Amino acid sequence: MKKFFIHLLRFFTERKSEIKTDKIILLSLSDLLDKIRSEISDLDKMSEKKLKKEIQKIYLEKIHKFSCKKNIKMEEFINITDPNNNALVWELKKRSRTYFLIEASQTEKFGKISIVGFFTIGLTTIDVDLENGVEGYSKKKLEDLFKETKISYLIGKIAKNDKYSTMITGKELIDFAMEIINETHVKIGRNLVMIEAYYDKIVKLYKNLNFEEFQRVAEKSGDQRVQLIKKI
Amino acid sequence: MASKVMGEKIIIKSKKAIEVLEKLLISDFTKVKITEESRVNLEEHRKKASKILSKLF
Repeated sequence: MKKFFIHLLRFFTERKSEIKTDKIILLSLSDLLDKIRSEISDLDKMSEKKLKKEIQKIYLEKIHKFSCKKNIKMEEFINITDPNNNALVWELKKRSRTYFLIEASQTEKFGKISIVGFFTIGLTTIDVDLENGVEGYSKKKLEDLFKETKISYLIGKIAKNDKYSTMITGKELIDFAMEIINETHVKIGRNLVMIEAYYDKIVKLYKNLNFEEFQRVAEKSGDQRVQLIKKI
Repeated sequence: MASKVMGEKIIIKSKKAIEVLEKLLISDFTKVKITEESRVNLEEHRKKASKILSKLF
């Protein structure tokens, strides 16, 4: 029995150490969609609805199911459970951009994309409720502070696939997202990045990556989410 | 982690949030470098991604 546990322990530690991030490739969903489009013949003759269905069909054929039991919404977003609210629709509507971190050897071996993790980046604006005001600030002061629109990059969704959870750390996922944001802000400007978290462990991780707690927002469900911000 | 605010405004409701924002926006910009040292070689990833996509399609 003892031998079995030692073997089991060795299996997991070795598995963890042999997995290296150089086996991981960053793939933008936009690039994948362009490839999918190039596969479809008579694209111009198709109705918008039919084309969307066709793109969806090929997309699902080309990716392995994404699994994230800690947050089912992340699974649903990638696996297109809701036909109107998913990674494909957000990408096609240019609402945000999603990036996959894929496992290269498995993807090549099975001819299907193995997603290790993903993140979605977009923009948001930061504003103040002038009607209700903010304690300690006069309306005039708030108006002065928010004269100029405050735009921030937003890491809107981020998750790891349960199947490959040891292959990449949360920090590495954020590093990839920040790299895309850095590349973008050099070209178009803006200097704030926001991220949200529901769990203390995740808040701690983001704080370690120099995000600062911004505010806590209570939800109808009773849950509380923490908004964090960082200057770049 | 899912954000509720993608595509929506973030509305500041607390004094703390304004203080954090003021602190971030008022700091000295002239001393901040615009480009940061890369930790990820995006070009390399793009090349590899393009290669893998051409194998899949």
